[in-house]
Amino acid sequence: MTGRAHPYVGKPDYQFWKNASGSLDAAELDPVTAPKFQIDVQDRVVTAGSCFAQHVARHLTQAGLNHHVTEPGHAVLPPEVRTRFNYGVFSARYGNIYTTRQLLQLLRRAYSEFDPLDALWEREDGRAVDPFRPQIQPDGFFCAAEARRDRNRHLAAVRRAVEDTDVFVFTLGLTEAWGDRRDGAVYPLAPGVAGGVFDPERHVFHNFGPAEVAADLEAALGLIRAHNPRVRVLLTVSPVPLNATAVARHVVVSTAYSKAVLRVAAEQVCANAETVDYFPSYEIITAPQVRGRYFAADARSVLEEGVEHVMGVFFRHYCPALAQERPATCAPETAPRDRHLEEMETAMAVLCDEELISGEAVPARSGGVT
Amino acid sequence: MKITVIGASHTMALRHALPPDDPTIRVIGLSNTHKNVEQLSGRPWCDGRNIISPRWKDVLARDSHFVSMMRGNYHNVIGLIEHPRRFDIVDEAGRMRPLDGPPRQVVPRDAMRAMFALHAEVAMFSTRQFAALFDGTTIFISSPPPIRSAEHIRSHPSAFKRIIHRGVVPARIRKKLYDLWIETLSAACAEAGIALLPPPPEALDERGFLSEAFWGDATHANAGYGALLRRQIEEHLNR
Repeated sequence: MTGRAHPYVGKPDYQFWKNASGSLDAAELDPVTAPKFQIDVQDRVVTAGSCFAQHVARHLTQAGLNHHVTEPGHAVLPPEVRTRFNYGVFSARYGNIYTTRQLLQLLRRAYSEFDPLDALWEREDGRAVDPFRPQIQPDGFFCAAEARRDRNRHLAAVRRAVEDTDVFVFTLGLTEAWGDRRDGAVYPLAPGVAGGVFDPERHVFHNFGPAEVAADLEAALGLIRAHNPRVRVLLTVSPVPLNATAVARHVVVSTAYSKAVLRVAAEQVCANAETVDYFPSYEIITAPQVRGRYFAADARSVLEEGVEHVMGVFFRHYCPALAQERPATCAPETAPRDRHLEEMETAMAVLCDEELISGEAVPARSGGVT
Repeated sequence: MKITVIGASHTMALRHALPPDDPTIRVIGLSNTHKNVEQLSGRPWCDGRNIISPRWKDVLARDSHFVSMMRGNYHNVIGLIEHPRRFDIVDEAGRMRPLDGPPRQVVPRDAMRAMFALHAEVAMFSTRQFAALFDGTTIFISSPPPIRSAEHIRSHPSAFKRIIHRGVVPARIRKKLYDLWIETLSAACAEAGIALLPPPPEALDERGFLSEAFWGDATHANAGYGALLRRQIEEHLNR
């Protein structure tokens, strides 16, 4: 007696809920089946996207992948200061890029195709905030002149990132955004939240639909390819729910809509290009198999255990050379010391000791400092 | 009450200004003090552990005022000799006048201040440790302002001989870094409840640099400056 013939016969286990990885043990969940490309350890990887992308960037760096940082911050700044000022968090100091429109406009600004009317938010105390990365400095820029210079340097770093990268990893985060009615400039945060003044006449809300997100993403990737035809692209969708929705409905409903739109758009863009792939970080964190265990007590933040799971799958499929070698936990990055600073510190210690000797100083050890 | 001065090499300007057996002021220069502090206190630098050897209690007179001159020279480590990636910061008024030469990276002033704040934290940590050993008032004295003349620095390269060819940082930038260091130190002192004495006004030129009469080597002041410091300390404590 022969079995019934139907389209599901002979299909691999991963196509069946019951047989797919993760059905028995959530830690085994691995939804990647046929990656379009792999990443070599020498490949320059540029990262951007929403807050979940920060986790991705951190793990890429820590694992020894060539996270290509074109705006690392000056070497006179110690690593803890550079991190606090968002240097090296992503490849350039753009902060979180939540929407594909924001990504597209950043690229257009970098290549002088777009010059937003709302260039700078100057505060009454003389400080200035960059409307397109309002949290990049803990307390804004010291003054408008500093902010302008930093922005120019930043946009040059964006161009270098675009032109030098082998792999661009972008995490889609949101569909809701606030913009400037006059020229369509889109902000990462609503004016007034982290700088600027909200003006209901000028600032307008928009919730991007799937066609808009896909079109913006296609345009952004097209702009990148125009300057760097060899680039490969890996898209992910952030599993982090919306912090707040501007639509008058439950934030859970808005989250579901946003993530669905982003997922559809990513699928569409990937389907149209051999060198654009989708990586299911959203699915790993939110899959029913993991039963919400990767979310923190606030039901929104993703726990490190979840990030580890995502990155384990990532390295297994896209960078197998590093899958075995990467550390079990992601320790804070330690940057090498700057050679000039080391030389200066040594020379200064010698100079100061010479000065002390001239005054018959009490050396620390003999003097009793333990 | 006696005065005990403890700190880095800038204490030597004061020592050179004193007679060998001065009955009032005792100066103790600490070689590599802060390196020891950092090694012992771990990261973050101030972990609350007592890093002062109990032996200090035996060698210091408790009945004394305490003048701290800790952590004096980091602004010079950052900005005396040109870094291969030349940099600049805006001044306290938010200005940045163009300088000759290759373009410079503008380091955000707040980031530079955050870096200095880490060093001010170390200075306050060691100051508080020593201050606990004295009954008198604690005051803090910063390092002297920069020497305006690049020529003087070049002609006194001393330990910088091997790297002086990279160039001396323009005086205007060195002064901005010094001013920012003092601003940061001032905030740290205010938070710790310790008075910070500014450089003696008589030792400054019209732009706030160290006047030529008080130059020592590339970064230190001389005994004349030390004499002004002594007067300043005594006036402050006698107020």
